[in-house]
This record gives sequence, C-alpha cells and structure tokens, in this order.
Amino acid sequence: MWKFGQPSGRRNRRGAAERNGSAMRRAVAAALCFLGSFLGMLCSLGFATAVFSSSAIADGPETASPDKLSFVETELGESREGYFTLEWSAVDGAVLYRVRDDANEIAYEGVATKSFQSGLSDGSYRYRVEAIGEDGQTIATSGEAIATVKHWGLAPSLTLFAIGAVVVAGIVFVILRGRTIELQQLQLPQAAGHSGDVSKLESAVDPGRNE
Amino acid sequence: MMFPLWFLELIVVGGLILCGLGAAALIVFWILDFKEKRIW
Amino acid sequence: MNMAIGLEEQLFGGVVLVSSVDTGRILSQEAGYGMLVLFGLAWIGLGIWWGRRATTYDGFAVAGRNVGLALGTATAVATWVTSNTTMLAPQFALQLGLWGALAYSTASFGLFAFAPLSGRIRRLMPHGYTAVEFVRRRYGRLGSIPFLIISLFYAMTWLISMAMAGGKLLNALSGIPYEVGMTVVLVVCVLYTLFGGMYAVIGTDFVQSIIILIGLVVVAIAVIAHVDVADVHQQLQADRPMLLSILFPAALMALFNNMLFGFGEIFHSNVWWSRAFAMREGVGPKAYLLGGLLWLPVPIVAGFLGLAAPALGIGVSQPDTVGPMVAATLLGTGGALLVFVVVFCSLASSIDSLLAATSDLVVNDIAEPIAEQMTSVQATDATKRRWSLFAIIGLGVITWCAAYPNIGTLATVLFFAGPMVGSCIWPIIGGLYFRRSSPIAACAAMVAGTSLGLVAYFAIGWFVASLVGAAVSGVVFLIAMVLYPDDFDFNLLSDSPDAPIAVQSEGVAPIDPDGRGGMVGDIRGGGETR
Repeated sequence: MWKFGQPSGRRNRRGAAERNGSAMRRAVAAALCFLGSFLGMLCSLGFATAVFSSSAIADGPETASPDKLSFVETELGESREGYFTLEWSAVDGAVLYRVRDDANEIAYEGVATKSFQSGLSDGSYRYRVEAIGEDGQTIATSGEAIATVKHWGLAPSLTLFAIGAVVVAGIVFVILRGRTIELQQLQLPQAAGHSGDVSKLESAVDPGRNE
Repeated sequence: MMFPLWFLELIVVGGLILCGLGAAALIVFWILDFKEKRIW
Repeated sequence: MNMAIGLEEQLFGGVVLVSSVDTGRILSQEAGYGMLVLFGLAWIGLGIWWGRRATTYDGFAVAGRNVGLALGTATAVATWVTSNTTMLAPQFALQLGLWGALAYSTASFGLFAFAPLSGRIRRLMPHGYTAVEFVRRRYGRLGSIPFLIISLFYAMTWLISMAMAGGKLLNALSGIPYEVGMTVVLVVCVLYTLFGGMYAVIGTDFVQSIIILIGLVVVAIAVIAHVDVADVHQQLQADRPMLLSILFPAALMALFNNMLFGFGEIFHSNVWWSRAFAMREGVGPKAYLLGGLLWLPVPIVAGFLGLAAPALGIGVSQPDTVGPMVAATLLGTGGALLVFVVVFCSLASSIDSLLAATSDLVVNDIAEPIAEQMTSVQATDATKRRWSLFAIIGLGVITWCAAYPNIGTLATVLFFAGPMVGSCIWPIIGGLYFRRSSPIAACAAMVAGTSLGLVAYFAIGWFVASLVGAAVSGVVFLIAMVLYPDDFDFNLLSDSPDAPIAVQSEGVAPIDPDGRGGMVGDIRGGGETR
C-alpha cells in the first residue's frame, strides 16, 4: 500500500518548493487510511484481550436479587500466582461488607462488592461474606466461596529467571562492547596524529565537553 | 525464605531519600543550565 | 503508632461510608473540577509560552536539538513516570510482593542501557527524527514494516491505557465521571502539544517531574508516619506471606520479564529516540543515566503504598487503584489535592510525549514516504509542521474513541505489547552496533519473537511474554545474522539536508580497521558516560 524511501537515498529537501497540493492531500488521505486500518486492528485485539481477561474485569454485579447475598462465583478455580478477586452481589440496606476466611478472620472490610486477595501460599481457601446494615447488625451472610492456590513450580520459574538473566547479560555485553570499541576507535586517529583534523573532529563530536 | 525487615526498611527509606535528592538535583541542574544559558 | 492506625481506620470508615460506590473519594467533585481547570490551563499556557520557540519543524519535532541537562534529565524521569507507576506499581507490589516492586523498578535499567545508545544515535543520525527512520535506513522495508506496526501498536496501547488511567484515577479520587476526566486530560495534552510541540512537552515535563517527585516523597512520609515499616512487614508475614517470599515463583518469572519489557519499550519507542535527537550533543547519555537514577526509587516508594494497604486496614477491592487510595485516605483533603496533582502530572507527562513522538512517526514514516512516492517531491518544513498538527489531533481522536468504552484492566492491555517490544531489542542494538545485522535477521527476529511471545502470553501469562519475545528474537536474530550477514555502511544513516554532514561524516568514520566482531564505532570526544 505504501513505500518507504530507499535506505541509502540521499534527499535534497531544498528541491521541495514545487510541491503538488492535491497529491499531498492524497498522501494525507492515504495516511489516514493507514491509521484507520490500524485502529481496526487495535480495536479487535483490544476486544480479544478484554474477552480473554473478562474474569478480571466485571463492573457491578447488581443484577442479582437484592436480598440474597451470594458470591458471583463460588468455585474460583486454581490461582497459580496466589491472588484472585472475590465478588458478590449487592444487598439493599448494606453499608459495609465483611469477608471472613475459614479461620473467621476478616479478610476484607469495605463498601465494594469485591475484594482482592493476594500473597497466599499453596492451599485451599474458603470465604464467607457478611453484609452489615446501618445499625451495625449483620443483615445477610453468604454461602462459601472456595479458591485454590497452587503456585508455579520453582524449577520452571528459576529456569525462566536464568534465561532472563542470560538475555539481559547478552544485551548489556553487546552495548558495553560496542561502547568500548567506540572508545578505542577514538584513540586511533589521535595516536596516529591526524594533525589538521583533530581539533575539527573534537569540536564536531564533543560539544558536550562544556558540561 | 522471606525478605527480612531490614531489607524492606532499606529500600523504602533509601527510595525516599533518592526521590528527595532527585528533586533537588533537578533544580540544581536547572540553575546551572540557566546561569550558563544552555537550557535549550 | 498503632493508636494512630485505629484512628485512621475510623476516619477511613467514615469517609468510605459517605461514598456510594466502591472507592473512598476524599476530594469533592467541585475540587476535582477546580484542579482540572487550574492545571489544564497552566499546562496549556506553558505550552503556548514555550511553543513560541517552535518556529521550524526541527523546533516543533525535536526542540531544536539543543536541550540541556536539566530539562533532558527531567523529561526522561517525567515521561517514564507514567500513571502506571502510581497505579501499576502498587498493584504489582500487592500481586507479586516485594519482588513485584523491585521488578517494576528494574524498568529504570532500560534508561541506563539506553544512555550509551542515545549518544550513538545522536551521532550516527545528526538530522534524524524517529526510530522508524533509523530502522528504515538500516534495514530497508523488510525491517521497517514490522517495526512500524509494533511501534504504532505500542504507542497506541500506551496512549489509550494512559487516557483510561486518567479517567479511572480522576474518578476514583474525586468522583468526576470517567468519560469527563478522560476527555479533559486528553484534550489538555492535545492542546499544549499542538501549540508547543516538543518544546512544550519537554518544558512541562520539567515542572511535572519535580511535582511528581516531591509529591511522592510527601505521600510516602505520611504513610510511614501512620504505620511502622515493621508493622507492614509483620502484617504481610501473617496474612499474605508470599508477598515477602524470596522464592515466589510468579514473581521470579516476572522480574526479568519486566526488565526486558522496559528495555524493549525504551529501545524501540520513538518517545525515547526523539529525546535522544532533541538533546544537545553529549547531553543524552548523562541525562538518561541520571533520569534512570531518579526514576529507580519511584516504583519502590509507590509499591510500598500497595504493601502498606493491609497493615493500614484498607480493604482492597481493585488492585489498580490501591496506591492513590492509600495516599488519599491518609492525607485528608490537602493530601488528596496533592495526589490529584501528582496523578495529573504523571498522566500528562506521558500522554504529551506519546502524542509528540507518535505524530513524528506518522509524519516522517507514513505521510512523508507516501507523499514522496506519489509526488516524488520532498515535503517542506511548513507542510510537515501542518501534518504534525493533523497527526496530533488524529491521535487524540483515535485514543478518545478507544478509551471511551473503558474495557480491560490496565495491566492486561499494556502487557499485550510486551512480547512485541521485547522482540525489537536485538534488531535495535544489533543495528546500532553490528554492521553484519541484516534486514532478514531483523524481520525474522521481530516476527518470531512477537509470535512466540504472544503464544507464551496466552499459554503461561503476561509475566513471561516479554521474556520469551526477547529470548526468541535474540536467538533468531543471531542465527539469521550468521546465515545472512550484511555489510552495512553506517555513514548511510547520517542523511543530511544541508552542509554540516561534511564535517560530521569525518567524525563518524564507518571503519572497522581491526575487524573486531563486525562492530564499528564512530570517533568521539569522550567523557559522555562517566
């Protein structure tokens, strides 16, 4: 659809005075077309992502019947990162929700109808949520929600950690080596004594020295 | 194996100090640049 | 200390009960609108003021290529402190623990690594504008088409996620409707970028970076005043033990993934290249090094806000707003205003940079080549200047349309770009340092890295996608470079419209007298990266 300039092409921007207005407009139109198609691609990808991660989104589960307090999902499946979001239906008259775990300890307290749990180690976790009314009384209690946490194995994680370390080390090596060779190249002409050019070179490449 | 408390303290306090120094450094650089008229 | 926590819980409870939805808003809508108008007008005013310098396209696109150390450092910090640093870093810490906060801060290594590259870029292409321009000259069309697609995808996802973050954050802090907050943030940034171009972007970045750093210090000190670090540690140990675990598998996988994501973002993105072009010769490496150093503590301090939430008794419903919520809860109205400003600054400093740098891409790498092909005439300065205005407005409109429906969590949308940018690392550094890097190697590396990285994204998770992308593209790149070597003349990069090239090209000697691994370097005066 479009072509790029040749990589080695030297341009003469001074010859640009006689430009063709309509062609320019066409060019802009083409650019807009490109952007349009790009947007289409982006949107479809965005939607794919949204669908893929739909479990993580969810705004307002207010569709449930008002007096019954229950978790949206009672079986949360297996979390491999040790975090998940509990979500429950809203109850009329509730000013506060309190999530308790199997040890009856408070895992969340707040006005939202969801709670983010994280940092859990391997095991299975049961939760109940209570709705608290204005007078501080518990007006409803839900059934149980069960979540399981099973972390990724340590061996594959450490393998990926090691691969990452190797890749980063490779990148740093290339940059440092390239840098060193740049510096060595600097020494060469000076050692050889490019008499006339030296001052010119320095002024051309090192205005940063006035720092 | 847990990160020890001193490590958490170190990075939090160290981070705070570095943030503060950074803001100060920016202002100092600006004054230096301004004096020598090489901001832009 | 503990008594204070008790009091805070009561206060928080009271505050929370006032608000109807799931977040405790501390700032009234009126105050929110007031701050929006105040700072919006301030940025636009500053943009117009600095923008008076932008008389040529060079001024508009790369700020006259003469930016000094103070503004150079500040722009690196401010641009890299995105609203994700205030939203995602606490989320990261809450999901992946201390490793998560550390992993996030390793994104600053990208700035360190880019420091030497920026000097070389500036010298190899003294008249360059964009990263895609480099790839086009270095690798031709084979390399530049995938690179352009990746660049645009990344820029647009970042831009959109930033606009969405704006809407969400302003809503969470002051109850301004998502659509209104998002629109205002976007319109303000479009306006001042439109008036002032790169001058406005870099100038406002300086003010914004100072506000961000000071604001963060104040917020973190407030947190420490309310809760002991020891209490945070104890609470985490009891309730969320994995967050403190050194051997947290997902976090271990995420560490280098995040670092490589940062490398990929900075190495490939025109946001950083245009700054390398904009800084005065010799300033770039220092500014990027210092910028990295200043940025390093930001995610750790912000991440601590997330880790402190459980100890402060703050119920977390949505991990991505935990940071601002902790800050706003502890600091009352005055503090909420501060948080609001910090958030607005970090949003604006990234959105403006993206608008400016991406409009350069659209003008230099899409519109100009098309126009040249169709008319075989060079676009004038004035034409390109006009095109950039259209491009900035167009990007703003596209971003607005995509951000309006408010779908997806922030992390998911942004990390989708991870494998793509990860696969650009090797083509970029190879292209800058090896003369043997060939178009086939670059293209194959980007395509293979992106594809397999996306597979890993869906098969394992976002926390390995960049890592797989970078690793696969590195292997493919090196193999293809051996099989199909090139012999590139680095002089071809310094395409100049005017005379200075005569002097410059002597300095940029494309020689490799010792044949050391096919790497070449140009001659330089030393003392850039001490």
